[in-house]
Amino acid sequence: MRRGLLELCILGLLEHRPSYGYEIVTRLAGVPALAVGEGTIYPLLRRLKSLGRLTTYWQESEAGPPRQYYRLSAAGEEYLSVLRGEWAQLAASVDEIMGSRAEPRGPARATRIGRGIRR
Amino acid sequence: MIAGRIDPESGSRGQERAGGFARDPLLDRYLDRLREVLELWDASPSARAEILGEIASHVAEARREGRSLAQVLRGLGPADELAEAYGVALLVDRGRGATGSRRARVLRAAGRWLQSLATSVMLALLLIASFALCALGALGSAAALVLPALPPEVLEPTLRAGAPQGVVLAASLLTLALGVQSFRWLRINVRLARTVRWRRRPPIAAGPRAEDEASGAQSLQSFPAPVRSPSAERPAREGGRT
Repeated sequence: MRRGLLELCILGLLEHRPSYGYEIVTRLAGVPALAVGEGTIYPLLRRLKSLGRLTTYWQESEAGPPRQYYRLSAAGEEYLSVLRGEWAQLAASVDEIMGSRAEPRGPARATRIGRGIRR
Repeated sequence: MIAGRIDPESGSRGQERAGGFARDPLLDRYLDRLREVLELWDASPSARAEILGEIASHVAEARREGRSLAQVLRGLGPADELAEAYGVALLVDRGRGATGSRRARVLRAAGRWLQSLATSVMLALLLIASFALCALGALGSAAALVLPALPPEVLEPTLRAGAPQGVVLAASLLTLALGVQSFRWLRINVRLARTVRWRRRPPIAAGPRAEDEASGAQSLQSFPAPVRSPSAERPAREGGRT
Protein backbone atom coordinates (compact mmCIF):
# COMPACT_ATOMS: atom_id res chain seq x y z
CA MET A 1 0.00 0.00 0.00
CA ARG A 2 2.86 2.31 0.88
CA ARG A 3 4.51 1.73 -2.47
CA GLY A 4 1.23 2.55 -4.18
CA LEU A 5 1.10 5.81 -2.26
CA LEU A 6 4.69 6.54 -3.21
CA GLU A 7 3.89 5.96 -6.86
CA LEU A 8 0.95 8.30 -6.54
CA CYS A 9 3.16 10.95 -4.91
CA ILE A 10 5.92 10.58 -7.51
CA LEU A 11 3.51 10.81 -10.43
CA GLY A 12 1.77 13.72 -8.73
CA LEU A 13 5.09 15.55 -8.36
CA LEU A 14 5.85 15.04 -12.03
CA GLU A 15 2.41 16.00 -13.25
CA HIS A 16 3.19 19.60 -14.01
CA ARG A 17 6.90 19.61 -14.71
CA PRO A 18 9.79 17.18 -15.19
CA SER A 19 12.09 16.69 -12.27
CA TYR A 20 15.36 14.93 -11.53
CA GLY A 21 15.98 12.11 -9.08
CA TYR A 22 17.53 14.07 -6.25
CA GLU A 23 14.78 16.69 -6.31
CA ILE A 24 12.08 14.03 -6.16
CA VAL A 25 13.89 12.20 -3.39
CA THR A 26 14.34 15.28 -1.22
CA ARG A 27 10.72 16.32 -1.72
CA LEU A 28 9.42 12.91 -0.66
CA ALA A 29 12.01 12.32 2.07
CA GLY A 30 10.89 15.63 3.56
CA VAL A 31 7.41 14.26 4.23
CA PRO A 32 7.70 12.42 7.56
CA ALA A 33 4.36 10.65 7.16
CA LEU A 34 5.65 8.82 4.12
CA ALA A 35 8.69 7.56 6.07
CA VAL A 36 10.56 6.86 2.90
CA GLY A 37 14.28 6.25 2.55
CA GLU A 38 16.24 7.79 -0.27
CA GLY A 39 17.21 4.35 -1.52
CA THR A 40 13.55 3.43 -1.99
CA ILE A 41 12.71 6.12 -4.51
CA TYR A 42 15.29 5.44 -7.20
CA PRO A 43 14.31 1.80 -7.85
CA LEU A 44 10.68 2.91 -7.90
CA LEU A 45 11.49 5.55 -10.50
CA ARG A 46 13.28 2.90 -12.52
CA ARG A 47 10.27 0.60 -12.30
CA LEU A 48 7.86 3.33 -13.39
CA LYS A 49 10.18 4.03 -16.28
CA SER A 50 10.35 0.33 -17.20
CA LEU A 51 6.58 0.18 -17.20
CA GLY A 52 6.46 3.10 -19.59
CA ARG A 53 4.83 5.48 -17.12
CA LEU A 54 7.81 7.79 -17.04
CA THR A 55 10.26 8.85 -19.70
CA THR A 56 13.73 10.20 -19.01
CA TYR A 57 16.34 12.44 -20.49
CA TRP A 58 19.74 13.55 -19.28
CA GLN A 59 20.52 17.20 -18.86
CA GLU A 60 23.69 19.02 -17.90
CA SER A 61 23.65 20.59 -14.48
CA GLU A 62 25.25 23.98 -13.79
CA ALA A 63 27.53 22.54 -11.18
CA GLY A 64 28.10 18.83 -11.00
CA PRO A 65 27.19 15.73 -12.91
CA PRO A 66 24.41 15.50 -15.48
CA ARG A 67 20.95 14.89 -14.09
CA GLN A 68 18.45 12.35 -15.27
CA TYR A 69 15.10 14.09 -15.59
CA TYR A 70 11.85 12.20 -15.33
CA ARG A 71 8.61 13.24 -16.92
CA LEU A 72 5.17 11.73 -17.15
CA SER A 73 4.31 9.76 -20.27
CA ALA A 74 0.78 9.46 -21.64
CA ALA A 75 0.51 6.06 -19.94
CA GLY A 76 1.75 7.68 -16.73
CA GLU A 77 -0.95 10.35 -16.87
CA GLU A 78 -3.56 7.68 -17.34
CA TYR A 79 -2.14 5.67 -14.46
CA LEU A 80 -2.06 8.77 -12.27
CA SER A 81 -5.75 9.33 -12.82
CA VAL A 82 -6.43 5.67 -11.92
CA LEU A 83 -4.39 6.01 -8.72
CA ARG A 84 -6.12 9.27 -7.86
CA GLY A 85 -9.49 7.59 -8.20
CA GLU A 86 -8.39 4.72 -5.98
CA TRP A 87 -6.93 7.11 -3.43
CA ALA A 88 -10.14 9.15 -3.30
CA GLN A 89 -12.15 5.98 -2.75
CA LEU A 90 -9.79 4.72 -0.07
CA ALA A 91 -9.64 8.05 1.73
CA ALA A 92 -13.42 8.36 1.66
CA SER A 93 -13.81 4.85 3.07
CA VAL A 94 -11.30 5.49 5.86
CA ASP A 95 -12.91 8.85 6.66
CA GLU A 96 -16.27 7.19 6.86
CA ILE A 97 -15.01 4.51 9.24
CA MET A 98 -13.11 6.97 11.40
CA GLY A 99 -15.98 9.44 11.37
CA SER A 100 -18.53 6.85 12.47
CA ARG A 101 -16.28 5.82 15.37
CA ALA A 102 -15.13 9.26 16.37
CA GLU A 103 -18.57 10.91 16.59
CA PRO A 104 -19.98 9.21 19.68
CA ARG A 105 -16.67 8.93 21.54
CA GLY A 106 -15.04 12.18 20.53
CA PRO A 107 -16.86 14.74 22.70
CA ALA A 108 -16.89 12.52 25.77
CA ARG A 109 -13.16 11.90 25.53
CA ALA A 110 -12.49 15.57 24.93
CA THR A 111 -14.52 16.40 28.04
CA ARG A 112 -12.52 13.94 30.12
CA ILE A 113 -9.26 15.40 28.87
CA GLY A 114 -10.59 18.88 29.54
CA ARG A 115 -11.46 17.93 33.10
CA GLY A 116 -8.00 16.49 33.61
CA ILE A 117 -6.39 19.73 32.52
CA ARG A 118 -8.60 21.82 34.77
CA ARG A 119 -7.65 19.69 37.77
CA MET B 1 19.93 17.37 -23.31
CA ILE B 2 22.53 14.74 -23.53
CA ALA B 3 21.49 11.26 -24.39
CA GLY B 4 23.73 8.28 -23.79
CA ARG B 5 26.38 10.37 -22.18
CA ILE B 6 27.34 7.83 -19.58
CA ASP B 7 29.79 5.15 -20.58
CA PRO B 8 28.00 1.80 -20.45
CA GLU B 9 30.99 0.05 -18.99
CA SER B 10 31.67 2.71 -16.40
CA GLY B 11 32.28 1.77 -12.85
CA SER B 12 33.63 4.04 -10.24
CA ARG B 13 36.30 5.25 -12.63
CA GLY B 14 33.64 6.39 -15.05
CA GLN B 15 31.93 8.35 -12.34
CA GLU B 16 34.94 10.48 -11.53
CA ARG B 17 33.85 12.98 -14.12
CA ALA B 18 30.39 13.00 -12.59
CA GLY B 19 30.77 15.35 -9.73
CA GLY B 20 34.31 15.11 -8.55
CA PHE B 21 33.34 13.27 -5.36
CA ALA B 22 33.67 9.74 -6.71
CA ARG B 23 37.38 9.60 -5.96
CA ASP B 24 36.47 8.87 -2.39
CA PRO B 25 37.34 5.20 -1.79
CA LEU B 26 34.17 4.74 0.24
CA LEU B 27 32.04 5.85 -2.69
CA ASP B 28 34.17 3.78 -5.07
CA ARG B 29 33.53 0.71 -2.97
CA TYR B 30 29.81 1.48 -2.78
CA LEU B 31 29.46 1.92 -6.54
CA ASP B 32 31.60 -1.14 -7.26
CA ARG B 33 29.45 -3.23 -4.96
CA LEU B 34 26.29 -1.84 -6.54
CA ARG B 35 27.60 -2.70 -9.99
CA GLU B 36 28.58 -6.23 -8.91
CA VAL B 37 25.15 -7.04 -7.53
CA LEU B 38 23.45 -5.47 -10.54
CA GLU B 39 25.53 -7.79 -12.71
CA LEU B 40 24.20 -10.72 -10.70
CA TRP B 41 20.72 -9.48 -11.53
CA ASP B 42 21.67 -9.63 -15.23
CA ALA B 43 21.38 -5.87 -15.63
CA SER B 44 22.40 -4.82 -19.11
CA PRO B 45 25.46 -2.55 -19.38
CA SER B 46 23.28 0.41 -20.33
CA ALA B 47 20.94 -0.17 -17.37
CA ARG B 48 23.92 -0.47 -15.02
CA ALA B 49 25.45 2.70 -16.37
CA GLU B 50 22.19 4.60 -15.93
CA ILE B 51 21.73 3.38 -12.37
CA LEU B 52 25.34 4.08 -11.38
CA GLY B 53 25.17 7.47 -13.05
CA GLU B 54 22.03 8.37 -11.16
CA ILE B 55 23.40 7.28 -7.80
CA ALA B 56 26.64 9.17 -8.45
CA SER B 57 24.58 12.19 -9.38
CA HIS B 58 22.54 11.83 -6.17
CA VAL B 59 25.70 11.68 -4.08
CA ALA B 60 27.18 14.72 -5.78
CA GLU B 61 23.97 16.74 -5.30
CA ALA B 62 23.71 15.75 -1.67
CA ARG B 63 27.33 16.59 -0.96
CA ARG B 64 26.93 19.96 -2.59
CA GLU B 65 24.27 20.65 0.01
CA GLY B 66 26.84 19.99 2.72
CA ARG B 67 25.98 16.43 3.70
CA SER B 68 28.84 14.08 4.43
CA LEU B 69 29.40 11.08 2.20
CA ALA B 70 28.69 8.69 5.05
CA GLN B 71 25.35 10.40 5.69
CA VAL B 72 24.40 10.23 2.02
CA LEU B 73 25.29 6.56 1.70
CA ARG B 74 23.45 5.78 4.92
CA GLY B 75 20.40 7.47 3.42
CA LEU B 76 20.64 5.30 0.33
CA GLY B 77 21.04 2.13 2.35
CA PRO B 78 23.45 -0.77 1.79
CA ALA B 79 24.54 -1.21 -1.83
CA ASP B 80 23.28 -4.81 -1.84
CA GLU B 81 19.79 -3.81 -0.77
CA LEU B 82 19.67 -0.93 -3.22
CA ALA B 83 20.75 -3.26 -6.04
CA GLU B 84 18.13 -5.81 -5.03
CA ALA B 85 15.44 -3.15 -5.08
CA TYR B 86 16.62 -2.18 -8.54
CA GLY B 87 16.55 -5.87 -9.42
CA VAL B 88 12.75 -5.89 -9.22
CA ALA B 89 12.63 -3.04 -11.72
CA LEU B 90 15.09 -4.93 -13.90
CA LEU B 91 12.78 -7.94 -13.86
CA VAL B 92 10.08 -5.66 -15.25
CA ASP B 93 12.58 -4.59 -17.91
CA ARG B 94 13.26 -8.21 -18.75
CA GLY B 95 9.56 -8.97 -18.92
CA ARG B 96 9.27 -6.28 -21.55
CA GLY B 97 12.35 -7.55 -23.33
CA ALA B 98 14.20 -4.33 -22.66
CA THR B 99 17.28 -5.86 -21.06
CA GLY B 100 20.26 -6.65 -23.23
CA SER B 101 20.93 -6.18 -26.88
CA ARG B 102 18.99 -7.89 -29.64
CA ARG B 103 21.87 -10.31 -30.13
CA ALA B 104 21.84 -11.24 -26.44
CA ARG B 105 18.09 -11.83 -26.54
CA VAL B 106 18.43 -14.01 -29.65
CA LEU B 107 21.22 -16.01 -28.00
CA ARG B 108 19.18 -16.44 -24.82
CA ALA B 109 16.19 -17.62 -26.86
CA ALA B 110 18.40 -20.03 -28.84
CA GLY B 111 19.87 -21.40 -25.60
CA ARG B 112 16.40 -21.94 -24.17
CA TRP B 113 15.30 -23.64 -27.40
CA LEU B 114 18.33 -25.96 -27.39
CA GLN B 115 17.71 -26.83 -23.76
CA SER B 116 14.09 -27.66 -24.50
CA LEU B 117 15.16 -29.78 -27.46
CA ALA B 118 17.68 -31.72 -25.38
CA THR B 119 15.06 -32.30 -22.67
CA SER B 120 12.52 -33.48 -25.24
CA VAL B 121 15.02 -35.92 -26.81
CA MET B 122 15.97 -37.27 -23.40
CA LEU B 123 12.31 -37.76 -22.44
CA ALA B 124 11.53 -39.44 -25.76
CA LEU B 125 14.45 -41.87 -25.29
CA LEU B 126 13.28 -42.63 -21.78
CA LEU B 127 9.76 -43.28 -23.08
CA ILE B 128 11.05 -45.67 -25.76
CA ALA B 129 13.29 -47.46 -23.25
CA SER B 130 10.38 -47.82 -20.80
CA PHE B 131 8.12 -49.32 -23.46
CA ALA B 132 10.89 -51.66 -24.70
CA LEU B 133 11.72 -52.88 -21.19
CA CYS B 134 8.08 -53.49 -20.30
CA ALA B 135 7.41 -55.32 -23.56
CA LEU B 136 10.55 -57.44 -23.21
CA GLY B 137 9.75 -58.27 -19.60
CA ALA B 138 6.15 -59.23 -20.39
CA LEU B 139 7.13 -61.33 -23.40
CA GLY B 140 9.95 -63.02 -21.51
CA SER B 141 7.69 -63.86 -18.58
CA ALA B 142 5.02 -65.24 -20.89
CA ALA B 143 7.60 -67.28 -22.79
CA ALA B 144 9.09 -68.67 -19.58
CA LEU B 145 5.65 -69.78 -18.40
CA VAL B 146 4.17 -70.97 -21.66
CA LEU B 147 7.02 -72.56 -23.60
CA PRO B 148 7.87 -75.42 -21.15
CA ALA B 149 4.22 -76.43 -21.12
CA LEU B 150 4.19 -77.00 -24.88
CA PRO B 151 4.81 -80.54 -26.14
CA PRO B 152 8.46 -81.20 -27.01
CA GLU B 153 7.75 -81.84 -30.67
CA VAL B 154 6.28 -78.34 -31.06
CA LEU B 155 9.48 -76.70 -29.90
CA GLU B 156 12.68 -76.63 -31.80
CA PRO B 157 15.56 -78.34 -29.97
CA THR B 158 17.43 -75.05 -29.71
CA LEU B 159 14.65 -73.43 -27.73
CA ARG B 160 14.44 -76.32 -25.34
CA ALA B 161 18.16 -76.23 -24.77
CA GLY B 162 17.96 -72.64 -23.42
CA ALA B 163 18.35 -71.35 -19.87
CA PRO B 164 16.29 -72.94 -17.09
CA GLN B 165 12.71 -71.69 -16.74
CA GLY B 166 13.29 -70.11 -13.36
CA VAL B 167 16.19 -67.97 -14.55
CA VAL B 168 14.30 -66.78 -17.64
CA LEU B 169 11.25 -65.93 -15.55
CA ALA B 170 13.30 -64.03 -12.97
CA ALA B 171 15.20 -62.10 -15.63
CA SER B 172 11.95 -61.24 -17.41
CA LEU B 173 10.24 -60.07 -14.24
CA LEU B 174 13.28 -57.97 -13.41
CA THR B 175 13.14 -56.40 -16.88
CA LEU B 176 9.43 -55.71 -16.45
CA ALA B 177 10.06 -54.08 -13.07
CA LEU B 178 12.79 -51.97 -14.62
CA GLY B 179 10.38 -50.91 -17.37
CA VAL B 180 7.75 -49.86 -14.81
CA GLN B 181 10.38 -47.95 -12.86
CA SER B 182 11.45 -46.22 -16.08
CA PHE B 183 7.89 -45.02 -16.53
CA ARG B 184 8.03 -43.54 -13.01
CA TRP B 185 11.31 -41.77 -13.82
CA LEU B 186 9.73 -40.49 -16.99
CA ARG B 187 6.79 -39.06 -15.05
CA ILE B 188 9.12 -37.37 -12.57
CA ASN B 189 11.22 -35.91 -15.38
CA VAL B 190 8.16 -34.61 -17.21
CA ARG B 191 7.02 -32.86 -14.03
CA LEU B 192 10.50 -31.46 -13.50
CA ALA B 193 10.69 -30.19 -17.07
CA ARG B 194 7.30 -28.51 -16.68
CA THR B 195 8.37 -26.85 -13.45
CA VAL B 196 11.62 -25.57 -14.95
CA ARG B 197 9.75 -24.26 -17.97
CA TRP B 198 7.24 -22.48 -15.72
CA ARG B 199 9.98 -20.95 -13.59
CA ARG B 200 11.87 -19.75 -16.65
CA ARG B 201 8.90 -17.75 -17.90
CA PRO B 202 9.36 -13.99 -17.82
CA PRO B 203 7.99 -12.72 -14.54
CA ILE B 204 5.65 -10.32 -16.27
CA ALA B 205 3.92 -11.25 -19.46
CA ALA B 206 3.71 -8.71 -22.25
CA GLY B 207 0.67 -6.52 -22.44
CA PRO B 208 -0.57 -3.69 -20.32
CA ARG B 209 -3.04 -5.76 -18.30
CA ALA B 210 -0.39 -8.20 -17.19
CA GLU B 211 1.91 -5.36 -16.26
CA ASP B 212 -0.75 -3.75 -14.19
CA GLU B 213 -1.59 -6.98 -12.46
CA ALA B 214 2.08 -7.56 -11.70
CA SER B 215 2.96 -4.25 -10.27
CA GLY B 216 0.74 -1.40 -11.04
CA ALA B 217 -2.97 -0.95 -11.09
CA GLN B 218 -3.74 -2.67 -7.82
CA SER B 219 -0.99 -0.74 -6.17
CA LEU B 220 -3.13 1.00 -3.61
CA GLN B 221 -4.70 -2.23 -2.44
CA SER B 222 -2.00 -4.85 -2.24
CA PHE B 223 1.47 -5.70 -3.35
CA PRO B 224 3.30 -8.95 -3.70
CA ALA B 225 6.52 -9.32 -1.75
CA PRO B 226 9.54 -8.17 -3.76
CA VAL B 227 11.09 -10.92 -5.83
CA ARG B 228 14.51 -11.83 -4.51
CA SER B 229 17.12 -13.45 -6.64
CA PRO B 230 18.98 -16.23 -4.88
CA SER B 231 22.10 -15.20 -6.72
CA ALA B 232 21.80 -11.72 -5.34
CA GLU B 233 21.39 -13.00 -1.80
CA ARG B 234 24.71 -14.77 -1.94
CA PRO B 235 26.92 -11.70 -1.96
CA ALA B 236 24.81 -10.14 0.76
CA ARG B 237 25.67 -13.00 3.05
CA GLU B 238 29.31 -12.84 2.10
CA GLY B 239 29.49 -9.35 3.49
CA GLY B 240 30.97 -6.41 1.64
CA ARG B 241 28.38 -3.94 2.78
CA THR B 242 29.64 -0.48 3.06
